[in-house]
Amino acid sequence: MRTLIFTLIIALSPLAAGASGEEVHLDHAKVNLENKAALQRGAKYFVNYCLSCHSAAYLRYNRMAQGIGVSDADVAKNLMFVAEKVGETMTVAMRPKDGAKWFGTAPPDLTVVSRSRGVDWLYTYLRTFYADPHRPFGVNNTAFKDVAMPDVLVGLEGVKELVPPRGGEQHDAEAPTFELAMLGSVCKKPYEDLTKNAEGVPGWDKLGGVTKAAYVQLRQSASAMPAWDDLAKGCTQEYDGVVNDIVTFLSYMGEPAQLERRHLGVFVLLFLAVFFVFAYLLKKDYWKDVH
Amino acid sequence: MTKMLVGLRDWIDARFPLMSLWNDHLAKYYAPKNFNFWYYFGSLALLVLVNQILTGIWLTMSYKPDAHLAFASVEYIMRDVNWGWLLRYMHSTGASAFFVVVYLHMFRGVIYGSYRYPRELIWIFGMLIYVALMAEAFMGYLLPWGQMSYWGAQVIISLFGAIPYVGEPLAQWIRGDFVVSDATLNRFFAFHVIAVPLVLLGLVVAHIMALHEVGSNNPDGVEIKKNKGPDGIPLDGIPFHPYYTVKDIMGVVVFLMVFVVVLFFAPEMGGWFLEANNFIPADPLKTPQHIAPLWYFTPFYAILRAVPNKLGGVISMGAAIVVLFLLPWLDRSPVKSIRYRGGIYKIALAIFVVSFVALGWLGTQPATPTLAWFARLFSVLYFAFFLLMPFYTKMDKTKPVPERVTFK
Repeated sequence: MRTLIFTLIIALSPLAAGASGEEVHLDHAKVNLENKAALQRGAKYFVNYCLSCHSAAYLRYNRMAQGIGVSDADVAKNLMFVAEKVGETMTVAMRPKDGAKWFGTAPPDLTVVSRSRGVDWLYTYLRTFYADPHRPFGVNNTAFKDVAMPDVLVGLEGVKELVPPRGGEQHDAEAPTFELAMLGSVCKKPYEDLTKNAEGVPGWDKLGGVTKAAYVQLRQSASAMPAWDDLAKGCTQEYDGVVNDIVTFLSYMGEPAQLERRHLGVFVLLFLAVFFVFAYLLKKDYWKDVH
Repeated sequence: MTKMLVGLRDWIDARFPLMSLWNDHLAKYYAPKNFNFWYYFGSLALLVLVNQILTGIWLTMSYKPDAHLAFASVEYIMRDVNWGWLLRYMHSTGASAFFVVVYLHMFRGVIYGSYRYPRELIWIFGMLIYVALMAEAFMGYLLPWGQMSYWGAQVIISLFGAIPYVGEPLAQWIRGDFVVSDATLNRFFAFHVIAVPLVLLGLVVAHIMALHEVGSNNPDGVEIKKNKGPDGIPLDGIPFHPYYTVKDIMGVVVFLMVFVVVLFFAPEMGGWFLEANNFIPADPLKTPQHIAPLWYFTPFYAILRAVPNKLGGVISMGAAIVVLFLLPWLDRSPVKSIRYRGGIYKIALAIFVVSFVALGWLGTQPATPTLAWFARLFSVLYFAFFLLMPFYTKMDKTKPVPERVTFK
């Protein structure tokens, strides 16, 4: 009985006290489900980086194949690591109990996360991890403070540090600023683009996982290397593209029927428009003797 | 061929009142000829009811009323069942559409005085339909077993706990458990798919029978039966079929266009028809920060929260609905239609509409102290519209009502 009363007090407390809304600054994701290439890249990132802890238990591999525009055989070969048949749903081997033990909370299923969190939130969240030695996994997140999840994309993105806002306090409504502190694998393309015609610069294979300090030192002997800030800008753009692909895939996964729904809607509306003409003429004809 | 069909009709008619039903309710039911825009919503409500029942039957074929399976079965419908997503959206959009058309239908009754003598019982049946509909929607919303389903039900059922002495046992009896659980889900499913729909259908039949007994009101509030031709047919009446059937088909098409735009292009309606939090499976251990019912309940929810005392809030919310039942006896105006009423009534009605909409919005917001005061203000105005009605409708200067209906 006491638990019940307690539950109800908690349940009703936002009504009485007024819930302090956790508003965070959101960046806008550009989701285009017609872009099959983006969907396929997103699926690749999802099964490689997310699907070991997070399940997508309401989505079947073959339904995904159909949605992202690849054959069942290709999905089985490239995107299926634990399942045996393409008709299976995307579950994970990790038990929720173990997840809770290892991370403090069981990693939630992500099938409909794009509908509960919204694509903009996801797009922001995956781009706002930063190094924080006070946290168990060494990272924190400005969109989801003290999040239990480690930064699984750190190898791609590189390590970021949060730039303390002017005046000290970070206000929720304003966008946080980050500074790249260590190169990730997404930097390969911008680095190679920036050093295309340069001579005597080290190849990318010498640079993976290099910190800012090490990079700056390296550049002293090879001045044709791009400035750190220019490279960091390229990395950020590249990584934003990666996250946009992931979010595009998550959006598809949240509601696989989205495209079909919009296409069908157009035809239904056209039918109704034609039907209306006849309905109107019929009514007009019947009513011509009513005055 | 025609001869055979006529023969069949006569064969049935000799054993069943086929022709008399057809004539009494359609072909020889004389409706006033001056129905306007507001008169579409009755037939539209019937259309949405049929939509809910049909899509509901098909959803039931794949849905599982089990706390462990419910959420997944809805996603199964959305993904793996052929056209399941369409059925589900037709049902979820239909639920909100039902309240849209019913609120407009009720508002029509208010502005043209359709609840007045001799149509009090039609209004009472209509109100009972409205209450049954709220129960139906509330219990249906638990079925997807998302966070809002769960915590919405938890909060609303707990309101019964505020009743002195019997409250707590009563709330427990409704839930079948100490908290909302599998037992609650199962019984709500039973109520949602069979008990309440049966009641609804019965009430709809009673509503229409009572209407056809006394005849329809109209935007002028004139009784067309007072002016009959030598054949006994009201001079201002036209047979419902074919006149209003063809007219309503037109209304149906326009309504469907709006319905379809929501259904196919914005089924969540920005969180108003499907809440984002309801895509998180129900978790009895995690209370969402902000629990808000769906939009059609929010005016009453705002009234509930406006009263600082829980029991007082529950009583106020109940009273907000009960007072609607009394409308036929609160209105003392000599005229029915707003067309012939004076300025005081029009101002009172405008204040009421603003209050109702404002309460609806406030019910969706977290109750900050400022908003709580606004909710109190609008709650008082809501009740004032009804409780002061006997006085201001009597005082109000009315205009002369014409003998016959007019086209405007």
